Amino acid sequence: MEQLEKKTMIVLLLVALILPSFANEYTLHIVILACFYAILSSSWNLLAGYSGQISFAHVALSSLGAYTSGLLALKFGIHPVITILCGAVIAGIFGAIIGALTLRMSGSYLALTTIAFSEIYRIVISLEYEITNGQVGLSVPGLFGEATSKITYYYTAIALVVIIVFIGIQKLVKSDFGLTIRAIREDETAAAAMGAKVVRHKVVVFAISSAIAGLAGAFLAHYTLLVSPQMATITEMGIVISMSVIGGLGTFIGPVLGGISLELISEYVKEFGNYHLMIFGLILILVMRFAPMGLAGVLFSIPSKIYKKKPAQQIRKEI
Amino acid sequence: MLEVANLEAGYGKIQILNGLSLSANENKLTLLIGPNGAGKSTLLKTIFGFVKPSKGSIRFQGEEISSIPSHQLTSLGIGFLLQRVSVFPDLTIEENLKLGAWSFKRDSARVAQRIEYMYDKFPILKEKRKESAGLMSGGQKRMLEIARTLMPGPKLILVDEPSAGLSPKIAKEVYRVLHELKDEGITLVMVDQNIRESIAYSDYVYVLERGRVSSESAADEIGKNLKQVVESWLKF
Amino acid sequence: MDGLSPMLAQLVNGLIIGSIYGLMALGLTIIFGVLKIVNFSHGEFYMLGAYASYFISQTLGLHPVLGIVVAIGATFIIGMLIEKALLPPLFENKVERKEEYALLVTFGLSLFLINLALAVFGPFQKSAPALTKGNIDLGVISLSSGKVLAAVIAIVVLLITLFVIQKTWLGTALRAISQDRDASAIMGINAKRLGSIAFGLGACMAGAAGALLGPVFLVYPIMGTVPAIKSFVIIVLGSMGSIKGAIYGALLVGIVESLGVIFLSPAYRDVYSFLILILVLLFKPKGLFGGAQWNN
Repeated sequence: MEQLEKKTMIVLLLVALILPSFANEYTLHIVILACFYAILSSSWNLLAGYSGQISFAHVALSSLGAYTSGLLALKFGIHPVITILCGAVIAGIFGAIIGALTLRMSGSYLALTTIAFSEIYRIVISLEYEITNGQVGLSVPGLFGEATSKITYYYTAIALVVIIVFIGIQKLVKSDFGLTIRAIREDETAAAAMGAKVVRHKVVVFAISSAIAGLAGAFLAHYTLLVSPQMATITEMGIVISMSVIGGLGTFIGPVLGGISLELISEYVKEFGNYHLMIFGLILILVMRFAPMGLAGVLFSIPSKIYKKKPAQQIRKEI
Repeated sequence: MLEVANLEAGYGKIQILNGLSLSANENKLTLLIGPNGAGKSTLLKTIFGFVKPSKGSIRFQGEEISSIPSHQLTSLGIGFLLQRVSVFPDLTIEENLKLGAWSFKRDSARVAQRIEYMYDKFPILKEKRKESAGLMSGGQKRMLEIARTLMPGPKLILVDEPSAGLSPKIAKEVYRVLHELKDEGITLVMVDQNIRESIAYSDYVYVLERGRVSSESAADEIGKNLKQVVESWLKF
Repeated sequence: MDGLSPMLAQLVNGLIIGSIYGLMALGLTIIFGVLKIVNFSHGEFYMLGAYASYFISQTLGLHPVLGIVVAIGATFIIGMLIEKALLPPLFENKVERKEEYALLVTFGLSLFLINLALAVFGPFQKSAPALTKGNIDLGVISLSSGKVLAAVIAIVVLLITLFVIQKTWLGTALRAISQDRDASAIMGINAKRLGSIAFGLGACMAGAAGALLGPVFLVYPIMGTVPAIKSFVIIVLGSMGSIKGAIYGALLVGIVESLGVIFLSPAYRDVYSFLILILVLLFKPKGLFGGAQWNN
């Protein structure tokens, strides 16, 4: 239900507006992280949920944006505002390349290829100590300087980014471009037969989604003042996937819900131990098995896209 | 032998069978004809459990079978000859036949005996027994499928377009073999577009249109009205 | 020649480890052939097998070979149960995008199992006792008997599995299901039940590989991730679904990795197989053996 989605977004926006006045620094920090994941999950959802390309290279591309931005700022003294945008562009370009290379690949093959890309990236980053400082990570300048004193600035900045990104994704999904993208996910052959320029659409979505990921990664780097290979692991990818799917793959508000709720869960669970990832995996399985539309589906009763039988496809299979 | 009553079934939102009732008598060849989309193939698939009916009943030898899983129907004595090619392409002919004996695989003597029987009946299969089934010609594959279906000695065989994709000469062979099955006491329910050929062997004919039986009669009686009936389909 | 023997040793090492990865890859092939899905949790069955074997041989102090037997049994059962619990939607026609479903569900399983292991066993790498002690001296090179025995066991398990697949009723039925599921049902084959068995079979081969390589590579929760990717490389290279391809692919990967380590850089060992994967998927997605049929 679109109306309900819109209302929820407005509520979240209001909460976000008044938050700094009564929340302490730790809470704001958590919210900033949640925003980061929400951006990452939403952009991944754009790629996987709307255009059906389930890529495992998302966090690697985000990390690429982070390292690009960090190195530019560190080695050349360029201000992070500019380098973050550079990071986004570079991530977008590489995303487009991966998208172009994997055009003809279906689900599992695409997943495997992107896993391979991601792991190669992570290993190279970890080993090329000279440039990247390896596993230890690279200290990079902050967007506003030291985090602790300027946390409300960071909070405001990322809130703005979130709003811009969400409005952008929303507009994209609702446009003709977005409609074509969703048609491609449903049935690529049929979409092509109807004249959709599948190649262009798939690559553009890959580029946009990767650019947003790069943006988010770069922002996080200049907030935590650190870039490390840690953010490019398959585990991190698993977190992003969990958030999107549990929230609701292919819906607009799903990844946001997923990002927020899983971030909250992990904060709560960390009190008892490092069990949050295990819980994410379990909930992911349960959601796929029993409620594939995720939280968004359960809460908003959006007509199921995955569970609906497609009569035409069924008949085609039978014949 | 087989009774279908008020059967409703389809794929998701598309309803194909809309209250279909018919019966097939023992040791007879019951022919199902009709225009495309009438639900002939769907009916056979529903009887065999590949499609789940939403309403109605399917009784085989008096017992309700609509909720029995497909793979259990073989041991009840029901076979199914699919329209499409269904040999196991990367298994040998002998392995294909052996799998026909799956429901009684423990009885190795009977398995061997049935295989020998099929080799007698279909010498070409014996000749190529060690070859991959996928390499055979269309007609040979059909024969293999028939032999494989006969392995457990079924009482009822559902046949979906037996001559589809075959040259007329081979098709005649297939029809001959199927016709002979009646002599062995087997009941046949057959869907066919090739009306002229199959009606010669049939005992009873049902005309299906839009998921229902629109008319039925004994095979020898339908001849006069047949031309009119078929022409009416062309008006779709 | 003195320069030759470390290279030879590296090559033989690569072949030994390759043969065990081949076992794991064969398991993945069986699952792909019968169930038509790529099991993204395959590495975690490898890990479970290693832990099971470790538990038997280190914690209980029993003979390591018993550990391997237990590992195979445990992962077979766990695999079957998981298939029954998670994969039915694929065959009940409730899911539109089956590949996507299988991918996400098995990936979720992977996430769950890795972190369950972390929570239960802790992150520290454990040292599992070798299968046997001592070395085999072949003049030019010296091999650890433990590794050689591991390779031998792997080959034995491989041969047994091949025998089952080619010569038994069960194996023939599994091959039939992989070629034509409907026709199998008409034969009376219960594809659902055999599908569970196929998954269990595939999983236990990963478990066996894990139990065999645990003593070589140490036992820890994420130990299965890289071997899983290598299994993917092997089956993609060998044409997904082809048994012969899996075996040849394994040897090829083992050799290429060793050559990369010898001539390029040991640190990038894992990268070589990832590069192979990308190259194959880009240029020869059907693998070197053509077609995705579960044939010989």
